[in-house]
Amino acid sequence: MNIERRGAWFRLPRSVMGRLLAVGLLAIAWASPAVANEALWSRGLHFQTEGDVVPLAEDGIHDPTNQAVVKVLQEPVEAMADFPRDDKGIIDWVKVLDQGMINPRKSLKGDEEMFPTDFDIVFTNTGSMPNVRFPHKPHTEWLTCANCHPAIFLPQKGGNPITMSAIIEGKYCGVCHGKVAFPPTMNCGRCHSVPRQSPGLR
Amino acid sequence: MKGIARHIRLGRVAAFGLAAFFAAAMLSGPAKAEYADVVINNYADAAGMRPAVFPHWFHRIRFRCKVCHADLGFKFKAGGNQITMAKIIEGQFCGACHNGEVAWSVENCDMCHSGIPGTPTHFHGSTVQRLVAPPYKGLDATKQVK
Repeated sequence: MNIERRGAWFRLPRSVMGRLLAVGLLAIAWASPAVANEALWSRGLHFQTEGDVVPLAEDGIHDPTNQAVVKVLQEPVEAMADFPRDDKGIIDWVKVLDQGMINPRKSLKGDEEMFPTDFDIVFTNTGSMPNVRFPHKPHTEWLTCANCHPAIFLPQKGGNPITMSAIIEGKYCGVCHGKVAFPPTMNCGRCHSVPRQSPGLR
Repeated sequence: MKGIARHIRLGRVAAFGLAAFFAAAMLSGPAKAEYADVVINNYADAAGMRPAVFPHWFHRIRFRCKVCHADLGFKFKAGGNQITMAKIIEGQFCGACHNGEVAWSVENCDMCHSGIPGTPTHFHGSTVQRLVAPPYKGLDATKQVK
C-alpha cells in the first residue's frame, strides 16, 4: 500500500475492505445478542421524560395487533401533554393536583374528603448529602394514613432504618418512588432538599 | 513504511468495528411506556388471553391513590392481588368500578387484556425492575399459577 492511498479509505485494497466488512458484521453480531437477550418489555423507564412521545403500540408491552390498543385506548400524550414537570423533565403530580389540572375523586363515588396532614419530617442521617425533608401534606392529598402506617413506616421517630439501597430495592419510599412516583435515581434534590448544618465529608 | 501502513489499516478496522458496535446498540433504544404501567399475567397467558395492562396514569388522573389502595384493598404489589375474572365480576378489585356503572364493564376484554402475549407480571420500567430484579428466564405457566 503506497502513501498516496492515505485519506482515500474507500479505495482500500479488496483484502482490507473484506476485513473491514467482516469486523463490522462480527461487531453487530456481538452487540445484538446482548440487546436481544433483554426482552423489549424489560427495558426503559416507568415514565416518559419531557419531549418523549411513545405511542401505546410501540411501548414494548402493549400488543399492536390488539384492536383496542390501536383504536380505543387513550394515548398518554393526549392526557398529559401540558402537565407540569420537575427540572429533570418528570411529571410533577403534586403540582398537577395543586394547580387544579386534575380533580381525582376522593372515594369511589367522590363523596368523601381527604384528611391532609401538614407536618414535615427532616431526616438528618443522610451521610454527605443534604438532609431529607419528608412533607406529609402532598402525600396525604393522595393517600390515607393506613396506606403507609404501620406496614411501610412505623409511625415512630427513628423507627424506620431507611437507606437508599432499601429504597432502590422497593422498600420504604421505594414502594411508590421508582414505580408510580418520581424515581430515587434521577432527581436527588427533590428529597435531599434541606442544606446540612455541617459540611459533609467528601 | 510498511509497518506504519499496517498500523493505519488495523486502526481503521478497529474504529469501524467500534462504530458498528455502537450503531447496533443504538438501533434498539429503550422502550418507554408512560407512567407506571403494570402488566398482570398471573393467569392470563395460561388461560390463552393476552396479559392485562393496568395504566396507573389514566386512573390517577381520575382517582386519588387511596381510593383503590385503601378503600378497595389493592396491595402495593404488581401481581400481588391475585385478581381473577370471577372476583371482578363479583365486584371486587377492578369490578368495583368496571361494572357498567362507574366505568365500562367486563365484556370489553381487549381493553384490559392488551399486552403482548408472554410478557410476565411486572411493574414496567420500575427502579426495582431495572436495577434489582433478576433477568426474566422465560414464562413458566406452572409456576405462574399458584
